[in-house]
Amino acid sequence: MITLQHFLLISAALFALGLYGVITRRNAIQILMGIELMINASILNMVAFSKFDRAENTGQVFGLFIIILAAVAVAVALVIIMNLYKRVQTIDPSKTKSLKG
Amino acid sequence: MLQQFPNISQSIADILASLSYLQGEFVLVVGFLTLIIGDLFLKKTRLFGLLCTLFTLFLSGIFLVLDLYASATATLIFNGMLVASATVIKFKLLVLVITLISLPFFYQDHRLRQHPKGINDFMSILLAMEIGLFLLIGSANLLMLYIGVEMISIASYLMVAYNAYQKDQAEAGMKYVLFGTVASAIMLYGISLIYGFTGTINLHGGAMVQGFEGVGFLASSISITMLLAGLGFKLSAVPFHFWTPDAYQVAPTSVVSFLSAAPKIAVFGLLYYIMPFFQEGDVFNQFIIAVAIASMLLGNIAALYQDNAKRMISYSAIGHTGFMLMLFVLPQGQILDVLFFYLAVYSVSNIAVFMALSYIENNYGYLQISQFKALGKQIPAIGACLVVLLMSLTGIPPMAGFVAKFLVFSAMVNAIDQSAVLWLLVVAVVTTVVSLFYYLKIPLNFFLKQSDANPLPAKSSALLAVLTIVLTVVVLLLGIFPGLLGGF
Repeated sequence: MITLQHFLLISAALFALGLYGVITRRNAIQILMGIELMINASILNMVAFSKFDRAENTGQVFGLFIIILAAVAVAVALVIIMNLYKRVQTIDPSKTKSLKG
Repeated sequence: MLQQFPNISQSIADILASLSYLQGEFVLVVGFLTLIIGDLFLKKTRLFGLLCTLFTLFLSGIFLVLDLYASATATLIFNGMLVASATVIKFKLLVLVITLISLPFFYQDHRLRQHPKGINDFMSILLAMEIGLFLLIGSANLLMLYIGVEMISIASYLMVAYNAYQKDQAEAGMKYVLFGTVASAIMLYGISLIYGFTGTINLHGGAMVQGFEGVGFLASSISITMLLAGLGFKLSAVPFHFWTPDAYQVAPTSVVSFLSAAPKIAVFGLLYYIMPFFQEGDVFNQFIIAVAIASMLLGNIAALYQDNAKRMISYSAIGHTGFMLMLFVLPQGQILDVLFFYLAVYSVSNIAVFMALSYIENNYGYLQISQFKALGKQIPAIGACLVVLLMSLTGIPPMAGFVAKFLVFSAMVNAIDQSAVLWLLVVAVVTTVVSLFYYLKIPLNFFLKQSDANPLPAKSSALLAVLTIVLTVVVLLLGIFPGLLGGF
């Protein structure tokens, strides 16, 4: 029997892994992958909690909205990263050092 | 079939009744579509973009003003997704006025004008962002809140990175977009926890407040803090401020001036609506106190060490955010007028300062404060305006900034029996004094320092100078007759 706790543990693990990836990775694309993990953790949460909300299904609807908006945000982020790569041939955020302070 | 969905006819009736409340937004949607499709046929016609945007904003403003006189009480519309009330419309109108002021600024910004693809795409992003701002101000539901925040975020990533064919801009754009998506992912996880703990995403009604009481201190504080982290990013409050100085330094000045005002007004408008639902426990207040103190201290102290004028203003904007956040420890009923006045005055002065800086940049190419030496002899009018505006931002009478700060302080003094309020006030007073040192660095260089260089001005952007002077007069008038703003 898979209970709510299992879902929540998995989503918490996904969120933590994603955050770890965002903090430690040196590549903008890998950071985006970490962000995607964090977003998926909250979709999983939403859908798991929605089990107890049969009447309104708020969680499921919210999940659909998150999927769309996350795709939009990632598309915009990829465009901006590609543009940067064309200028400076690197996507390592710690190597692009012209801005400081 | 209909027996399975007993609520459906009631929902449809509610939606049909709600449509009339959203006329301002519908105008914006139509304007956005017209602009984006018309631009395909009228390639790079600058006039078309300007007229379309201007007409859309004006029409939307007219509908908002009509709504303002029509609606007296707060109503929930679209099955509790949005709220329509006089307060909401006031915040929307303020956003709209700020956008209209910024519009000629966008067209005067040489960095936007020289873009190979033209400025019409930028205008369509602006209109889309306006819809997001309106939805965020009116949201009564965590789903609407998330959609509003994302619409604003995505539009502002594109605005900051619009000139990404320049290296610095692409870099700032990347930092901004990465921080921004992480912040909204954290906010999203907070929202999912709130949904799990309370079983509802409706902010109105008692269900959410009861749910928070039911789950205990730790759970509610984690979820509320995560939600507020996402909003704090849009406000550029410490510790979510990392993107602000970089983005402000390299983005086109007009974009920065718009982003330093409009999203802040929207998020403060939203916070004003949601504060009573979260103020039950201690968590909201403690979060606000910590963030406000940190923002005021870090923003004002870091601004002392900046030589780039736009970077300095960006740190001072962080300080101002902290100052306004201070108000949110008070009960909801006491802060509306004060918050609104402060937001209006801060936005107008900030935009005018950016216009003056942009004028200097267009004519002389100067960005560093140390380069401004003896410029006061060449452009005394702009210099005088800058003195007035910076004094207003510091809060020296008789400028409008003084009245705004005075109102905030007097509202806070009424609640001084809470010990945290005393600390907030002490920090606010000290940082206001600190801010005097860096704001007055610009007039000092302008008028008192001597310079050997004899720069040749390029003689352009007369419109920016005129606008700066007009806005300065507005700031002076509001300082002497603060009642002008409360009239509507």
